[in-house]
Amino acid sequence: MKAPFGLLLALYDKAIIDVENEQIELGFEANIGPALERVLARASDDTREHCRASAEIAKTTEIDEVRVVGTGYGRARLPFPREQIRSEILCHGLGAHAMFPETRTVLDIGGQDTKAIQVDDAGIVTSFQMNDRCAAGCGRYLGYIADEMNLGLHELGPLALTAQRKVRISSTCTVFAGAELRERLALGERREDILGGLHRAIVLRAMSLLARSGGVADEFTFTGGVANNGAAVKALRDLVAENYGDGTLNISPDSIYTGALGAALFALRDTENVTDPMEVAA
Amino acid sequence: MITAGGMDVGAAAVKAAIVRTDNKGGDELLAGQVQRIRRRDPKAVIRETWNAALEEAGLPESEIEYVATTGDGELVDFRRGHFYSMTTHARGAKFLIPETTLVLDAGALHARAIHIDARAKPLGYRMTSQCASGSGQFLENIARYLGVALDEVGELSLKSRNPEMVSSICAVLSETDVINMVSRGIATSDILKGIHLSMAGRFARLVRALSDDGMLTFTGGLSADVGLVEATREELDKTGVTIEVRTHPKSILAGAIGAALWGAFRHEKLLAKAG
Repeated sequence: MKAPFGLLLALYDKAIIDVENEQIELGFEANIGPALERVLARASDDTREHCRASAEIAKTTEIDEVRVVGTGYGRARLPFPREQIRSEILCHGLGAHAMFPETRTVLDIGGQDTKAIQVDDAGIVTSFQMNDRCAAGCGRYLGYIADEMNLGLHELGPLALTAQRKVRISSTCTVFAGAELRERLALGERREDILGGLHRAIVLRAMSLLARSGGVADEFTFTGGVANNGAAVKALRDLVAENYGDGTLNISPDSIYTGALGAALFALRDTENVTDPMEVAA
Repeated sequence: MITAGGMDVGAAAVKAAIVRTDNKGGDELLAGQVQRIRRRDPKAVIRETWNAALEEAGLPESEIEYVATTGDGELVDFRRGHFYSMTTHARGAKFLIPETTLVLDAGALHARAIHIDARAKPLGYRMTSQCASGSGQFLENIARYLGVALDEVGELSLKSRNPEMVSSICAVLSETDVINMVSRGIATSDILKGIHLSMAGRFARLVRALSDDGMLTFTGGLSADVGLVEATREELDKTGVTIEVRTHPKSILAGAIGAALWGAFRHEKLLAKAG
């Protein structure tokens, strides 16, 4: 048995909060000890043991910070010099390439934006299309629908997978889709079927981004929080097969780290004094 | 004299009106009721609103000669006729403010500007579509993120000194923008005024595509938001047009009143035809 992910995450969170709030100049090892005991106080013996073992590895791993590269929506707020900041698109491309080296197309559906990216055989972006400033077609769309239905975000996918008929959602805007949902429920349509239609709608928006960025090549990697949603994955698989034929669709269980992995790889390249990958691309 | 009822079923609220009219300009509003739907069964809300209107008018249902609907009227199973919302809002606005030449129906999901003639006949219209940015639902979301009741939004916006300008933003993603503004320490009134000005800019473009002058009357749910009405006035003034902007305490009922008045008109015609 591996240590439960959520518990470990809470553990690291607690260790970090201590550092931030109390400003004590202590190493990671000194911080994680007390945090571990606090988090594990109510855990079972078995869990406690596994968490201790995982924390032990983290504690004793020497991290020699040579170079850090930051990316993401909040990258402008990072206290890094400009050359240590890379765009999300570059990082996602490279991260997906590291996970699945044959990847040529990457689709990232995150909470606030959606990106369709084409990469070359080195993981460098050759073209991309992006949707932002509009919630339709990104994760927030599903979040809004979940709120409308009084459901948890994680309940949407499994429910939508039990849809029996295809429902076509005619609204694009998230707010209008929410109204359409209420209307259809009032008319007696099944919740599961409508949810299936809504998942298909968000993937359809992504399909148009993909088409504009240059289509879907083999292999194709799906990242971002929405990749954890089984119904969205199924809709994507169906629509890609329908429009571009059979191919490989990769989804990594670590997909949430794709951008961070790409950023780390950029940092690594910097230290190895490799020519700037962006220059190679140009 | 004909006594008629009008039901305006919107996305967020149900409005009911009862009128008495001679169909020659002698129109009288006997009752007007509004109820928010708020995740309830719309049909139950419709019945409740209608009963409240009957009670206010002090009339039994049997005395209402004609019931007409507008908006999502198919949900009203006791209706006899249905009218498009453009014609009903035009008629209702004209009843409330007789000098009206332009109507701005700003509701929960859409905004529509209508140019009308002296008999409340629509001459042309412009409306928003596809996107809920600038709709009532958008404003309601913003108010919720700010922890402000919808009724307080207007007065707060009027107090703003340095409106925080926003570009036209997604009604859903605006949550993040608003959180950022709050964390930057921007006053609630300045955020609301900025949002109002952004919405008003959209409205002004709709109106100006129809006319450069006249009397604009707000109808629909947002007509009660004095901050939005003022912002629309400012945005229109900026463009140098001579359009006076008005709203009326009963503006939210305009669609229902219009439906009732058109219903009475149709009823008289049907009676005449039947001989």
